[in-house]
Amino acid sequence: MDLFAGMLPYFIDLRFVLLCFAGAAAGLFVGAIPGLSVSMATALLVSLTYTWETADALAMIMGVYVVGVFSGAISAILINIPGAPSSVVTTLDGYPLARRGEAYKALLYAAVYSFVGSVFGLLALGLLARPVTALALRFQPMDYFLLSLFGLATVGGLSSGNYAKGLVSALLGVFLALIGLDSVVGTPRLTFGIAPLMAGIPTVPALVGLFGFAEVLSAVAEGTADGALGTVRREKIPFRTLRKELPRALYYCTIGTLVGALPGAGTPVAAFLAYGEANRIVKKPSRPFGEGAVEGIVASESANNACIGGALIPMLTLAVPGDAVTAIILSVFYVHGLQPGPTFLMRNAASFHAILAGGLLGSVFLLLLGLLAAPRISRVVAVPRRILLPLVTVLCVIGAYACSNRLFDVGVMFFFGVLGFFLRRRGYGTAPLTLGLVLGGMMDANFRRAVSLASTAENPAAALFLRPITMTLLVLTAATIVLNIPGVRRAVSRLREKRSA
Amino acid sequence: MRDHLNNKTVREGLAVLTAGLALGVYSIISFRRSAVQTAWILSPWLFPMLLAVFAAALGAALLGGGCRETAESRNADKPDARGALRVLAAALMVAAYCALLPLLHFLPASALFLAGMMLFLGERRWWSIAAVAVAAPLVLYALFALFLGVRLP
Repeated sequence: MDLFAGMLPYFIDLRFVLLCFAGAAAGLFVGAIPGLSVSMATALLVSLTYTWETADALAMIMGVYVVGVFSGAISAILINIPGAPSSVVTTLDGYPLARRGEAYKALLYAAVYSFVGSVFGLLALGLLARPVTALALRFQPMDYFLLSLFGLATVGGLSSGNYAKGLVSALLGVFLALIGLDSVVGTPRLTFGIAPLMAGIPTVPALVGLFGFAEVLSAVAEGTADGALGTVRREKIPFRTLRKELPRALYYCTIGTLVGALPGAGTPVAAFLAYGEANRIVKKPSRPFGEGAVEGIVASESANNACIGGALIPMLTLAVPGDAVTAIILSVFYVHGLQPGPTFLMRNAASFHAILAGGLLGSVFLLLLGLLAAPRISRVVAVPRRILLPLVTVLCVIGAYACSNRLFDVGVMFFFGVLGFFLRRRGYGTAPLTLGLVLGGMMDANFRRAVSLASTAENPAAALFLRPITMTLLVLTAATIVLNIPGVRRAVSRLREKRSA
Repeated sequence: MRDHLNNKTVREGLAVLTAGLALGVYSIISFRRSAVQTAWILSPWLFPMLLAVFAAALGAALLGGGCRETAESRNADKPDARGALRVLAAALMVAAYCALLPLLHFLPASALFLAGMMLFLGERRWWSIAAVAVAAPLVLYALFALFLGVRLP
């Protein structure tokens, strides 16, 4: 009740609402255009809102953040280029659905369940900030490593029918993430004397290549360049059908919020984990996963938007950002003289309420813009592919270059585009590589930190693994890997057949 | 044996296995030659070594899987020579575009690339090619460089 009373003044403040709407509209635009990212927009806003009132700045930033995370799905669905890493999973089912002429349906599910995810995450932030933070505080480096490994082991099975190929792709991603200056010792690793590689593989150009340029090459190879994608039909989907996914979505939202609360894990991990769970629990999807299952879109979008609330928990209570955008929002606090940390909720209750109110208003605008504006943006898929593909290529070049203003990044985009094309062609999938690329650095640092800490203990193995969280993650990871081994899978399915007989 | 070696999955398995072994050897050599001497568990080469072990195991798994593949599934993945040539040509055009960007600037290089690529992909309406090649770079330039302040090549 106190929480609502604290937010009420912001809900009825027209200036606050309008600024939040302006941020939401900007977020839709930024997320839908490949090459522009929410983090880039938030960073630009930090300098723009420097002289503003704290509440005004937070209204606009929360609008951009909430809608920007969703609108990454628009380009993911329409042209197979995720606007943000969080939307990578949405491409798996969203794009196949768009290619069948059901882009509207994909966008509708993405908008509605992004809204559900955002509201869930923000309510969790309001209600559960303290308990979730207490749990996240108990995570040790080994737990972070195992959580990442669990993510990779799960996603390995999602890419294709061949688990080994999925894991090879994930392994390649982790390998590429290790390139650059080592974060612990500070020596170059796997750079082979190439100076720009000292800073590591730039993630955004790599993603633009993997999901943008690779798609262009695939379309050229398939010879579909002459044809045009079907026009997007606005179809009526009854609310009864739409709400069917709600119970499962709440489960994905829980995953998203918890993963978001873990510093460093971020929205891609949440989306991948939720998608893995959807694969496991949905026995009869509307279409097979990876071929246009709305259940996959629901999992990805509800989880990644629920991450917003989760990611804000450690940022506000521990001053540890959950992802890149919250890291930038943290700087907004410093600019405005606020000090996030364990005492933040007590000392700056008004700012906390402004964040929640901005997020919830942003969620409402997400739903409105997602339902009304996104289908209009979807007209881009009606452009003939012989015109669209060259334009997408130019956007890929701009997106890659804009990150650091280096032509080297354009080369990285080109390399990853060609790599992604061959990986897809041979059934390795690009999603595991992406997760490996995003998580590799964190896995390396946490693994070494864990081993180093355990080496000084009397019983290193016990120090590493004999903790409830670690044991749970270890069992989950091992079970995921073992259950995906072809021989074990065959044995399990034989057992199931016997039982059913 | 020759039949197995003609199988792409077997060849990929061998490649992953070899890459894993090479990474392992490279990690050991780099650790020994490292300028900053640390214990193995603190070394930057510990994790690549682990990856090498996993890669070797996965390479072996792919090899095994490839050997069990049926002739039917192997034939399902016959290479399409025309498709490969199209991809090569498209990739070369993009590479040329990237090379031209610092020489010609964004607007002329993009106009040339768009016109060439649209022609290559089968667009034959000259008015359409001219309109897109001229208008698209201008719109993108206005949007990114002027409105959003993003630097273009």
